[in-house]
Amino acid sequence: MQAEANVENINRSLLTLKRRVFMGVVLSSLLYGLITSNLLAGMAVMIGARLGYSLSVFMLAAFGFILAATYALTRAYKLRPDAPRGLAILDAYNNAGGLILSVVETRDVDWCGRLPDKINVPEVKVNYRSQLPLFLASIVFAVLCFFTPVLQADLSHVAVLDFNQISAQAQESIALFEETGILNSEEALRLEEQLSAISEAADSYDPAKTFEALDQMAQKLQLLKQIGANDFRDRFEQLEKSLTAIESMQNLNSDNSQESQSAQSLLQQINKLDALNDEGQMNKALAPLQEALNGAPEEKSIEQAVTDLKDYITREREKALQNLQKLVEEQAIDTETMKQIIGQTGQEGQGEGSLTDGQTTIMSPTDSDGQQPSGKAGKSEPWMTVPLDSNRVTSEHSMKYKDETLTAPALDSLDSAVVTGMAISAPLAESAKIRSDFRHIGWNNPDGNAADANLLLPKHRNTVKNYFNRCRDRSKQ
Amino acid sequence: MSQTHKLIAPEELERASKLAKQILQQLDNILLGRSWLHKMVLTGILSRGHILLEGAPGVGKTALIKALGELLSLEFKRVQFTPDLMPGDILGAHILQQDQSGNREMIFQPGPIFTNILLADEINRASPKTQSALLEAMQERSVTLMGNTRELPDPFVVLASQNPIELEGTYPLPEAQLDRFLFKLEVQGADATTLKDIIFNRRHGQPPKPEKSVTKEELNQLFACMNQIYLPGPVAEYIACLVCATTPSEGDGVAEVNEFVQYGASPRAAIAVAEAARGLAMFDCRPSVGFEDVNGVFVAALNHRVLLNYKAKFAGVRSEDILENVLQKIKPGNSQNIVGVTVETGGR
Repeated sequence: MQAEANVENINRSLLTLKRRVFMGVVLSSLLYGLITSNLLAGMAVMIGARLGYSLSVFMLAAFGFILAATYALTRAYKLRPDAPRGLAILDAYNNAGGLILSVVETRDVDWCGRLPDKINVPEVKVNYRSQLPLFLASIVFAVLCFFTPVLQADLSHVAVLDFNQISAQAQESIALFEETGILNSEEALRLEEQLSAISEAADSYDPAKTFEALDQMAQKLQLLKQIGANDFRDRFEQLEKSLTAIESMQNLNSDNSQESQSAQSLLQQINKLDALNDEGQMNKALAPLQEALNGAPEEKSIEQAVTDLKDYITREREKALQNLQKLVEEQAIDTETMKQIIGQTGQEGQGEGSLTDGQTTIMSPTDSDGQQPSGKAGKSEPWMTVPLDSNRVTSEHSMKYKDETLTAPALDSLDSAVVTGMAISAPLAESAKIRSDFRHIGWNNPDGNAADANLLLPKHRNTVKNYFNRCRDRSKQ
Repeated sequence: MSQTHKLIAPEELERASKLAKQILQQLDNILLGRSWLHKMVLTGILSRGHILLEGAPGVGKTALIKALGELLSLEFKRVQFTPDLMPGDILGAHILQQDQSGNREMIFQPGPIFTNILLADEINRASPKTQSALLEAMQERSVTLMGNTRELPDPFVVLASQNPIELEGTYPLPEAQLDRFLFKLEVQGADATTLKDIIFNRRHGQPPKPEKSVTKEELNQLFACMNQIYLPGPVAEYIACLVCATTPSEGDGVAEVNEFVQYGASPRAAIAVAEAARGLAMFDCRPSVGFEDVNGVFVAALNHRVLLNYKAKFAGVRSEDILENVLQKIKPGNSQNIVGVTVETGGR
């Protein structure tokens, strides 16, 4: 019994020793792990600050502690003394002369009774002396890293603010053009995709390429606006002519032959409207008149058909006028251009859709009072808020991006063009017809007084320079 | 942990331990003031090892060996090593003899090596050729002459002495022969109290005769008991670690060893330590070898096996100092390898 008790005593002491060693190694390793994690956290904070990321202190602390604890537990598990080593430590500490080892190894009962009654377990001391200074130094380092400011300009907001506004305005313009029929849905979708591609490729460290891409987008929208104005002008002209023809026909109180002839000329006149983009609606409107002329007995009379056609054309004119008015309200087209469109048709000051018929909502910003349009009072022109950076240099990377990724603004319209001849000439001056006070992008003239709407891009500089040098060379000769 | 070994019976061990202590007590009575040396010498003999005693003249080296011979009732012979001593003077020679019928034949005349305890006095004064004659005898415990191998009596122990101060005309022992000695023990002079006892009680310094000699049977019992002393695995591992630590190595290791040691101890040294530790355990009446037994014999067993470099000689570093450092660095159970913590081991 005594022997068994002694062996049990050895096992208990062995467990105590293992526990003490485990705890000691855990504490020591935890300290080492915390030192390492403090240093790593400090460096992570510094690097994050450089890259513009702000790291959470509590997250880092929690992560570091978990890392250190995992390391400590793993190391303590690996360094834990096995039974022979533990017994050897106990034997040496108790000066048992190998008796503890030999009794446990051989299970010899004769010598079990001679084991010491009490087996002392050695103390395990953690070597704090070398670790504590390092630990304190690592804490100081981590704290300094958290509170040391990083002297670096944050460029992340510079280009993004204006760029977002420009992009949003371009988006609105595309939607407006689609709504008013200047753009069909496919073209509008393509432009939106192009705009989103510019946004995705935007680089705040090299904003020149983004701004140049937006320049091109603005040019394209300007071109679309001009094309749309021309289309509106043609449509209004055709509609006015048709209305004039219908009214003159109605004024004729002649026989059927004259009426028939007038109707035929009216049909020829109105057929020109098919070229306009009315998606076949005009054909439907002309069908009753055509059938009346063909003499179908059950159909309406020619006079009734002409009256219906006049109503249809009047509605179309009002609809076009509303779209035009919407463009003016959204400042896509100025009032001068609108007056030109409507004035050419000879309907200024007449009819229900007349702009001067009590409708004063459409005003040019350069009207006599020099104020903003009434519908936009207090709201600045968003395209003008982009800061002009005269030092912006077009980089090679930007040019490559523009040439390879972006399409030229007028490339689409040139696809269907026919080359009729080529000649070397000086750059054309901007015609007065397409001048506009409401330009969406005023890169070259932030004060709004510039007459030139087109941009002189950096890639044009050499051409202009060569042109003027050539003139100087000629004068010398 | 399985039962693979049966420990010696406590009664048997107590009887052997008592006998060993009696021998030691008598030896202490014969030669005064060197109890530790006597214990080590007796341990070496019980371990069947050869012992090299180094000390100045007159410190009692020869007296100790002679007292041992008388005490153990073993055959004892003494050879005074001189520069002109020849191997045949130690090993023996074949002599042509004529019998009564007139026939002549070569008769082997055994040398003084055919004994139980050989005192090789001033062993470093003999030439290397003569010193080398002991190599086979010390390791194989046999002598080969003219193709005939003759076994030496059992036990066979060489107790050699050498003088470390009169080095002129001496031949330092080769490493191979040094390695064959179990211990190299330094014999110091006696202190004043011991000297007073010697000159007061001993007429002409003559030591008293032993009261009782150990018979050969009793000595065989001691040898048999030694063979049953158990060597636990962790202690064997401890010995191996200690001996390996005496070899210079890159990386971790004892710094003093890496700096001053040219060649470390051989595997024979580890065997010697284990055997000698068994002797100490028997003296203390323990059935197994403990770490303190290993520590007790480690320096004596290895101090002549560790070859120092010239840097150590210039710095005045002794092999004993280096071995003490090794003992301090290597802990039982390899507790020094538990990095970051200090586990107290021994020394309470």
